[in-house]
Amino acid sequence: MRKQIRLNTLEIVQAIIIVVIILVILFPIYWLLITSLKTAISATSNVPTFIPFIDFQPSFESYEYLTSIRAAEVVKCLKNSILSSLFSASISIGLGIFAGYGLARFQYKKWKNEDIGFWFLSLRILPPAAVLVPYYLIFNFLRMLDNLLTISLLYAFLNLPITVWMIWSAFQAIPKEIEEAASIDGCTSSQILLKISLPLAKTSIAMAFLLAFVFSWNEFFLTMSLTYEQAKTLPVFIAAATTSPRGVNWSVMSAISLFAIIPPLIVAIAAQRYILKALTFGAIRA
Amino acid sequence: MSRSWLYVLPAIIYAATFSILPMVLSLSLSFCNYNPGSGLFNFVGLNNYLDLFNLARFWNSLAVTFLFAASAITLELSLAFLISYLLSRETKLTKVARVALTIPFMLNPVAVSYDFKMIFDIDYGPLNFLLKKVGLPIIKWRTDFAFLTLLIVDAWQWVPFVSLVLLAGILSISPAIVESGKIDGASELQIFRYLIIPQVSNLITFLILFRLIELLKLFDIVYVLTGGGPGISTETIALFLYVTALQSFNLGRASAASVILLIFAIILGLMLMRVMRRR
Amino acid sequence: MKVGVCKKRRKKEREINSDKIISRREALSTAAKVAISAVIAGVVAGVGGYFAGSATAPGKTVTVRETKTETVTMGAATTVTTTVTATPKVSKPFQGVKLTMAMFEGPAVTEGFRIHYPKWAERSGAEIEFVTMGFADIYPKIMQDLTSGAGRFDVILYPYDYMGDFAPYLLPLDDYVRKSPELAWRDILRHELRQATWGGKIIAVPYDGDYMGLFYRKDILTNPDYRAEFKKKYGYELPVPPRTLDQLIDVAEFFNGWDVDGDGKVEYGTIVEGTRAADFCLIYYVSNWMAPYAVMPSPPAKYPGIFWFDPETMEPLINSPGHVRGLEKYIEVMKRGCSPGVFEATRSDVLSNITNGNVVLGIDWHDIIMVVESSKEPLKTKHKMGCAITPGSTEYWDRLQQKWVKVEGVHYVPCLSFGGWFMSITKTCKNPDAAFDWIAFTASPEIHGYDITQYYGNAPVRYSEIFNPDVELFKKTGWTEEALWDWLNNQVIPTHLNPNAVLDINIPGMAEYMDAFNVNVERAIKGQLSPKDALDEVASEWEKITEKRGRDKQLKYYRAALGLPTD
Repeated sequence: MRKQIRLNTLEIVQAIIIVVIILVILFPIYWLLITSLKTAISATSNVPTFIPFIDFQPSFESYEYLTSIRAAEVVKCLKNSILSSLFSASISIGLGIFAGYGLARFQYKKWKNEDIGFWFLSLRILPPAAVLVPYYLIFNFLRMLDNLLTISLLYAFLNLPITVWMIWSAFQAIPKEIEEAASIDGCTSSQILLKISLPLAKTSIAMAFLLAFVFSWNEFFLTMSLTYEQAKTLPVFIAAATTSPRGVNWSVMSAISLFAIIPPLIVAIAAQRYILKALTFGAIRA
Repeated sequence: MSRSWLYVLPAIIYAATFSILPMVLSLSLSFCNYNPGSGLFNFVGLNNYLDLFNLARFWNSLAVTFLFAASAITLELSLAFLISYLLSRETKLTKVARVALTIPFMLNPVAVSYDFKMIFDIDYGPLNFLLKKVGLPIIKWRTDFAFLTLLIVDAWQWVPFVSLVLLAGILSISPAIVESGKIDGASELQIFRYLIIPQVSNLITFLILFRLIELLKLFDIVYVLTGGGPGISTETIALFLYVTALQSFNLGRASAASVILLIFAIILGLMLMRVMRRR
Repeated sequence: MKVGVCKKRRKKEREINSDKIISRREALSTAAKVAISAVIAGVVAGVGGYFAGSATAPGKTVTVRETKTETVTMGAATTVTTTVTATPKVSKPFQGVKLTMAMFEGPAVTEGFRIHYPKWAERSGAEIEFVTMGFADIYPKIMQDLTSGAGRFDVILYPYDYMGDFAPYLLPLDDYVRKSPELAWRDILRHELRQATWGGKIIAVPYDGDYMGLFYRKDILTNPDYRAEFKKKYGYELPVPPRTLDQLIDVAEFFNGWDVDGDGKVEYGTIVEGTRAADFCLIYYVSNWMAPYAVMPSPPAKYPGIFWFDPETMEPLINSPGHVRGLEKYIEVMKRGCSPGVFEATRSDVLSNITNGNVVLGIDWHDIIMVVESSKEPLKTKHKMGCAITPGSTEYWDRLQQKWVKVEGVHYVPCLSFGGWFMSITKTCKNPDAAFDWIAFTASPEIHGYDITQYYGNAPVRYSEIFNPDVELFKKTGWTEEALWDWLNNQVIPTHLNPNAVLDINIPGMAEYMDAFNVNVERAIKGQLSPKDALDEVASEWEKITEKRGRDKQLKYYRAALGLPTD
């Protein structure tokens, strides 16, 4: 009897802490949501309100503003974000599949597989800040500044380490026997890749695609430095909007931030099991 | 050349174009004085580097970056340990918590920073409101505690991720080891200290290096929350580079700073390779 | 092709043949497959990029219909029915000409262009593509186009502060200006003229005459109960409006932190920019507080409005006792007369707090009164905002005699902060005649006189606009006549006619000078350095910048900007 009670108290305390953790994680998102539903004036009142309908009357003022007056710009940024993220993720995955497969199945004589793999990983260490100046100059010279293609290519490069590593791990996890069986059956390497290995690794590849998409979606530093107007993405729009002389409107800010947060949020919740598996694949391998 | 090279070659070429080419350009530019504004362009040898070494603001940015990285990693790792330990049981609650943990690091740092900017607002933010309610004096978060504010935001984003990775590591430890520890009469704490931590030590090293890599590049949240201020007390090296390059248009000096930053990154990369190879 | 189709036998046959043939063939087939996928990917990429690119391709002429969706709720853009006074002799003299104009995205400041463009396009036969950009992008993007020789922009609209860096690439306009009756150059205000000239040549046409002034709640400051209490507390009559900065501090302190207008919300005295943040406006706000203490009237000073550098030696003046006192007063008002949040206030916070009535008075640009009078939103400050010239001081620092000098009355030194927006033609423009025709059109008394009355409000740049405004148009936008004359007579006219007004720095390296100022002044504000030490830091950093860029060159530019002889 006594032992059970002691366990319960400890468990209760632990449970409370866990609940607190969950609340701490969710509160900022909640705050963003309710602020976007306030009117501009009430969003900056001395007494912040927390619960809709009880503390304050929700209003769609900020959304109306975004979808009518700034609609053109919002749509453009959304479109840019979506297109560039999709496009760059595709490139990343394409290159990653080939590279990952090669690294998993072949032994390269000149340099060890591991070394090549590490080289890709080391690209992740490259601070974008360090290559900002040359990128700026090169793309300026090529007249490719403020261009969706440019940033898509850059995102693909930034995400290459992740995709290569994840897909490499995924292919390594496929037992060689299956592939050997297929090659005995008379298939070439590329056929094996396409018909057998790819479908088997498709969860990881899908995961890699989603991660590449999300990280492209979130990229800010290079995008802000290399675009003006045409190729603006959501994060840049959020940042630029606050330096406008007309002033910051908190509820509008929150609304647009929500737009920026929702796709990754959906990805996170829907694929959370796989995210864990995918990321730790790399980690545990390490 | 065997055809197997064709598989990795596209990726390698692609990556090399975007990395090696710019690095070479950076290096060569760092020896020149290039200022598009006044049309200055001349070779000055090591002058830019000397300028940088004499520039307090440069050293400051390095100090800020590394200091922040050290504090953030310590803070995040400690918190993550607690959390991963708490969540190592399989209950309904922990399942919900694990889902919640996958969210923060996926979110757009810029949007998150604006969110926290509002939360930390002196006059209108909920934090100060709560402090007032409880009778405590309000805190000028981004003015007096800029560093701390940034730490909090970074922790909010990354502690969940670190916890998840640690959790995966803990869960992958075979239960047999833990069982044998319990049979031997060890307490929870002892099991944690002597059995679990050594098993995940490699994971810990990986996490430290991973976070260090990311923190070296820290820009987004600093730009939005403090702009490097007050003064330059939170100006990270990435922010310093941005200001030098795109606001002062001093491209020669910016390139020199880029090269130095690259050297740090390469050293880090070599360390990473050595650690991972040891396994 | 299924696995089973792969013929066992064939594979075995291949294995029997020589290795070289196998590997070459297989290599070729693999290479072919990789190449084909690459090509497919490339095509997809190209198509995708094409769609992405074409939808956002520059070079597309922007029609006014498209851009009208960006109007702000503040006031509907009314269709223009102005009569154009100057009728060109040849109809459509610039038929087929295409120009590109770089400008701020607006709708503030630039909405006028979109509204008037059709009329000009009609009469000239030319086309203009408007390339808009966010505020922070103006300097880097235009700079990059000018220095790279890309020649994308023909006409640019830019803040005065950038003139120093842009000037070498801009076309001198002296001939055009003198020969253009439409532009009516004689009508341009004197300080605007000074700003439009560079190195003895006219290189820009003013479009927006920025300056900072004091705005205050008339109803609150004239409230008799409050006045009685103020007199009791401070020992003198509450001045309406405050005339000196010290009075401003007292008034702000008096109204700080309680509900002054009975609306259930706490109000504060005033608000200023407290943090450097991502904009650079700190220098503008602070310089308004420094100027009355730091600028000597002329005479006895040799030249009027000297504030930043010594016009003989290029030595920074920014750490003189006058400047230091200004900064000290700035910090004092932040502590005594503002809410605690002022330490994180940015420009937009200042603007919104003054126009929303969260503070009782404040120093800011003319945007305040424009928003208050013409906004369609239910602002509680509507028609209650008084305008005045920026408060001055009762003594100034005489740097020639190195001592403080008291004045009779008040020494006012308004600042034309930010300098305003100017239009220039780039040297790479292939059709400068057409470009100038456009500029003359938009800056003409008729068109520009219309623009200053609208919600997107440009500030006046002409004598005719400040002495003879189109009252009816202002009233249609929402102004009361009383507010209009209060604004003009008590703020705009005294500011522009004040000979000691301070112009911004616009010599090359402006960004670096301003950044050094902002960084160190912020440290003083946040208490990391004393005001004196902070300004000494600024001075020493400015010296370094000047040395790096060539002291003689900088001195020449500075004198040219001030309109002084540069031998």
